[in-house]
Amino acid sequence: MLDQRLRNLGLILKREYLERVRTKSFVIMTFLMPVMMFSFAFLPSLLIGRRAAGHRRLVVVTDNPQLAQSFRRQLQQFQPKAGETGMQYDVEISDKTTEAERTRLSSEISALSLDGFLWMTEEAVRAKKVTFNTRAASDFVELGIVQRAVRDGILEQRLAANNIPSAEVDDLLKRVDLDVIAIKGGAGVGMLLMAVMLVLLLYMSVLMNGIIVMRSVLEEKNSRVMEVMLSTVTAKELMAGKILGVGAVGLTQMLVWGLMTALFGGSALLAVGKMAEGMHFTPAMIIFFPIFYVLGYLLYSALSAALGAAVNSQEEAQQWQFFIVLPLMASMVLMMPVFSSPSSTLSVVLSLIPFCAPVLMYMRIVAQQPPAWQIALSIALLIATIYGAMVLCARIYRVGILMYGKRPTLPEIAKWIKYA
Amino acid sequence: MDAVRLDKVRKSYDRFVAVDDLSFTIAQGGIFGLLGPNGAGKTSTIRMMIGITVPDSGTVSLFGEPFRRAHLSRVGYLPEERGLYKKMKVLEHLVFLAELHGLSAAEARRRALSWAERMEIAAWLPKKVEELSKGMQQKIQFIAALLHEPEFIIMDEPFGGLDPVNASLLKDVLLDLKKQGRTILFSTHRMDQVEKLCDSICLIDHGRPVLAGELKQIKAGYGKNHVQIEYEGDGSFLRQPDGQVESFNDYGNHVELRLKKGADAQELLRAAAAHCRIRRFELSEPSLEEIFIDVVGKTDA
Repeated sequence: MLDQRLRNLGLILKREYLERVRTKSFVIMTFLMPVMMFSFAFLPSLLIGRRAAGHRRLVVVTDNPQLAQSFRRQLQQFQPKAGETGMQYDVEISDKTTEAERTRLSSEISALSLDGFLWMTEEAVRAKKVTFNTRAASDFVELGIVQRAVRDGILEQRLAANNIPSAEVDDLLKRVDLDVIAIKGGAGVGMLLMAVMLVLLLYMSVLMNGIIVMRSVLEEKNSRVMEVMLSTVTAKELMAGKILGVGAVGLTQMLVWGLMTALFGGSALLAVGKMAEGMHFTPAMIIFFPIFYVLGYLLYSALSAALGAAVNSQEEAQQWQFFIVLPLMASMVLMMPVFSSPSSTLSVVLSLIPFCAPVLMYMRIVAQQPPAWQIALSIALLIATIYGAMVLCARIYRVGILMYGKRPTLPEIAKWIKYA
Repeated sequence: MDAVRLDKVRKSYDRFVAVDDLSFTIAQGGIFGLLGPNGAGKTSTIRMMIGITVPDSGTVSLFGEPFRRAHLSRVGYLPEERGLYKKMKVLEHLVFLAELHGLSAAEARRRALSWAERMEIAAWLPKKVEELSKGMQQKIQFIAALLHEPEFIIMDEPFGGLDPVNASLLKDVLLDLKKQGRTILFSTHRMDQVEKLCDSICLIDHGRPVLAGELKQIKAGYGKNHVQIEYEGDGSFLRQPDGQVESFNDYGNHVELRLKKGADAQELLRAAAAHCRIRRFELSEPSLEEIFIDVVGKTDA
């Protein structure tokens, strides 16, 4: 009897697995997802952090040539050093502080032969109102650089006027680099990015595969294939086979993503350069990812299977689906507070709640290894909850799959659970 | 040995009693008709025979033993609510269902091919189920119910939705299976089909048996007080208040009527001939349809 059950389970699992793996959407999701994740996580910072290389021609209009010289020297500090790419500024100095000059420079900007000009007369400096005409008025990085160079240029002039030695002036105005270094064992910015990516992946997989289980139950119910299946297998075998089959599809997907990261991820991270500093996998991150995926998936897919069995249409299902994924969505909202203080009482309590544990306990493991007993307790609670949910949901499932047409009320569903 | 034995089986859903103290046996070999109007409890009864649901009380026995799931490999089931996995290829689907019944994949494939040949759908085997018409899908499901060579075959409305050619193909297969000594349960509310195929019947209504036994005996019990007339022209002779007719069912150009007690059929023939052309005039046992309407009508009243 037992091997017949296992055989049935195996056959259902295999069918479910093959049917999903063969679809186009599986192939697309599996191979496009990493590309999309990478793009969303890195491209924006890549684009901002790394500026286009090239030359900019600026003109400084002033009646004080020394001020213009100071500005030029200060701007030098922001120029790329040897071996780096970035923007090169060529600064010309004009002493014609006339309206005619202003008009001429403006027309040069319009004609694209000039990138911008700075109106920095003694009068303007006294009024603290230097004007910068430029085509790139929205480039806040460039505006920031120019602003600092103007301020430092004026400062250099003032300090020199007060007889401070030029070596000291240079030292005072030297650009200071702020290097953020995370202490070992703590979580740096790179780790945060990493954690967000992994948790997002976990969350999306649990959510998506749960919904797939629900749809698939609903489809079996609506196509009435259930009747035939139930003449050979039990409702429990059918539900278990389906959950395991879809879960195996999810694991396959993870495996492909893992392999792709191993193959291309390293070089991709190197390409990002500084962004990747402080990003690395710890053994705990790798070991606990599949564990929390499988546990989270089992819990939410059992609930989804019961939901699919209880309703009659997608529309009906959608209304209830929200309540099922609510704790999962709440976990996502709570992710940041938990990451920033992973050992607070709130974080510990939240990460022990079985419905949030897959996301939040994993988040804590990534942020800072919590005590082993907490991990063990959260897994034990999760497993106990999964067992309870499976028993309840199997009962709803068994009755629900043969109920067509009528929309069950909550008291009716409660009655289904009580049926022996 | 009986193929199936139901003993005081009862099943209720909430307050609705679907099957109420139902007992009957299906002898091995032959075709048994489980009849009844819509909602009489036919499908509920069948579901309990194959363990989809469990009776609230009473017992179900298959092949002379109390029901066990291991019996299911000897049972074939064509449900009334038909459905297959739409995205699966037809051959794969047949193999899958046969494997669930305990066959090896290779054996399942071999049998599926030969059945497909016999049912004239071999060309459709590589297609996806969703590409097939409803009738085709029904034939696939019919084959799926038979691949594991079950001793006991349950056919719930097997002819619904089939054209006459395919219906007769199916009927030939069923008669062939009967010849091989298999037991067939045939559930329907189409009496004309039952009359042609079944050896014995159980008619249920509101979850209770109202008529059971061998078809011949049941009909004989009603006596030859029925007349079948095929006529052309004026049918008003049927409605004469002092005539011989107790009740009648007019099917257009054919009428079946029941004579009053002690009425003379010859008299009716003369009266009819005076009004219209008679093509056939036959004294007979009541048709099952008449019995059905009679019995079910009475219990409803």
